[in-house]
Amino acid sequence: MLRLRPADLVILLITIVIITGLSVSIYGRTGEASQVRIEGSGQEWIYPLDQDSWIHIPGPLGDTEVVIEEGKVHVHDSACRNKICVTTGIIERVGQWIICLPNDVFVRIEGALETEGEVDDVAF
Amino acid sequence: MSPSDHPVRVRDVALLAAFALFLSTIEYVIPKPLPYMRIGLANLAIMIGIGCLTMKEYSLLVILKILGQGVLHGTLFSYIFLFSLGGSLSSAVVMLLLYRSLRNRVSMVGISIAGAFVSNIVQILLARMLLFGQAAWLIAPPFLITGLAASLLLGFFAQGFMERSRWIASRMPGSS
Repeated sequence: MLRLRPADLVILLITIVIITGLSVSIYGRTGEASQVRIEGSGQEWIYPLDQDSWIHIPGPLGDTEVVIEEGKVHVHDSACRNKICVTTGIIERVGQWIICLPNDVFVRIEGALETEGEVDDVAF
Repeated sequence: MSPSDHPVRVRDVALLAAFALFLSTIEYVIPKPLPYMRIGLANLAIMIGIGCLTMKEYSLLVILKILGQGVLHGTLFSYIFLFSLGGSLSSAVVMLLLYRSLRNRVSMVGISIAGAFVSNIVQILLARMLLFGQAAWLIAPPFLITGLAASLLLGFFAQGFMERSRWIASRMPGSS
């Protein structure tokens, strides 16, 4: 019969504590979702979440089309092969994200007052 | 079959490396919600290696696994290979160190969890530096949680397997 040994439990506990701490510091911040930050090809754009728009983000493979509609965001189409970003579906809360690795596009929803680097400052 | 200080048992290393690549291929065909989430099946071979190989043989196994996966998945000459390299190397080192220093106080369950965790953390740090900047942390929790679950199951399986396998028993240091 398999039995856990002392160090197994210690390792398991340490891992759980670190993951919980990280998750809380990354996702736990409250705040109204209010803006959409889009990164691609070394550039960065910020769009308001409450204003519908259809955005073409240029990437190495072509355009990734990001749609903001009634406070929700999704990727309509992208010039990549797998379309994982499209199948990710709709995001609407702070901290949610959509990524298109092949076309180097990263979309995420933020609260109003977030600044670059905040996640890192809190986490580490 | 004899213990350490002897010539490298190339056949055992080759067999385990082949096993690792086989598992890697199996893992490759299992659908996952995100392509960058891993179960880490190939690490079963690495864990077996920890139990019955010498340091030299183990290093050879790890290098073969990393290169083999690079060739198998066609990522050898892309930046994705850096992630594979960083993750595999760091977890291989951590798992070996834990096993050698804790001996009977740890089973493959703990080794597996620690290995997966270190591998994931290193890959997130790489993603931070190479691809996404600070935003990489947003992706961290789901990766770490699925990694923990997968490594826990894999660790239990590895421990059970290693306790029962006669092939492994015959290759443990000290057996004749």
